[in-house]
Amino acid sequence: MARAVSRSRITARIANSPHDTAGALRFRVAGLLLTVAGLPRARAKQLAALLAPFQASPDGQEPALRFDVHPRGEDDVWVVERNSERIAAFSDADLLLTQLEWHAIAAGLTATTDQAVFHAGALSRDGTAMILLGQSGVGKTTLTTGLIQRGWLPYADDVTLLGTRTATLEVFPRCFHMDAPALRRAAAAPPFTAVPGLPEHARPLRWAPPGLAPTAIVVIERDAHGPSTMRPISQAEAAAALLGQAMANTLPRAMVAEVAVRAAAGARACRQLTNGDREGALDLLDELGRL
Amino acid sequence: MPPQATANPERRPDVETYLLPDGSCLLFDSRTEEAHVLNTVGALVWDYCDGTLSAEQIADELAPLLPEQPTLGDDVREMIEALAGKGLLQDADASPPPARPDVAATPTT
Repeated sequence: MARAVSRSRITARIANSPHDTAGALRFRVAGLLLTVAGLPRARAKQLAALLAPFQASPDGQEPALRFDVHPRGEDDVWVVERNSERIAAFSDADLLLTQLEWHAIAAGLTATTDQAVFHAGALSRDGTAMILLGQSGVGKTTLTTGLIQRGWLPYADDVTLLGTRTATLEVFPRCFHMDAPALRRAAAAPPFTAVPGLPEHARPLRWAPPGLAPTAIVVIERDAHGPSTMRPISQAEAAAALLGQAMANTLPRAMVAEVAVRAAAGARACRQLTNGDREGALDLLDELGRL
Repeated sequence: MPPQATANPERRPDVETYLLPDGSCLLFDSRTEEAHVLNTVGALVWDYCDGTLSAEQIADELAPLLPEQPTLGDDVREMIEALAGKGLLQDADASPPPARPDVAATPTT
């Protein structure tokens, strides 16, 4: 006997239908051409929106990397293969999308030797450029979002690229992944555009001018119980902190160290920010941008 | 106490030294791929760790440069021990330090 199901359940079924798959999507991330194939049409549209700035035209070039998504039987599980090798399986289609996005991003960042890659946010205003460093959860995205709403333009909120030869900042136009409070604040003063169907993701409408050397490097620590404070640190401490947040890729770590040192050597201000109250932290960072 | 602390300390040649404009210094150990931060005094001590001077001699050399550092002798010893503890100095047992040219050139009577 047929079982009654809710409308949202039907919608989800159709969106995830393995019988209506899209053609291969092509992306170029940090120079690496890759494809994603086998996604249901509706999900493919969402992934295309999520990775819109990285979309590549079909120019006949063979991709260096292929991701293939296969439905597994009738149990709503999606299997992901990377160059025909199984790497993951997901029963949650939203998670499948965000993980595919990350796999595509990570593949490009791992392969590049033109950029050193750091787990950091970066912004620019009036010819100055600031890198925000810190472990996950210290508030990089929250502070980056807040500074954007104060007129700063972002290079990235989470993955910052410095040119290997120039040690200057490059834009990495990946969507911001925001929690609910950050999304509410972004919606209140929106220099962001939403990603259809993925409510926790938003993309800034404008990006910072590429090619600036960082003029300030800020190492952030979180202290949810006190006021925000800032103190100077040495350029060597800033360089070490930058190197400490380097993402492993094919670039030799000694070269990443050189890039970090060059970036710190050119920074007029190196600071440690204890991120207590959000507005206080934003005031301190805003002030730093005027030095 | 690490053995290097009593010998003439000598920098490992495969440790990259980066002097920053503000006087601080970053050492990059190519073996461990770790970075180590030195302040200005530490950078000076590191610079003098060439295998020809003992910790006391390094402190004597630095004294005119750092007159405001009353505990310089202790500070230099501690820094050298810290550098040795991080494995940034040559193993004293592996390669005996060369004699100081000015000492070796001193005629014996």
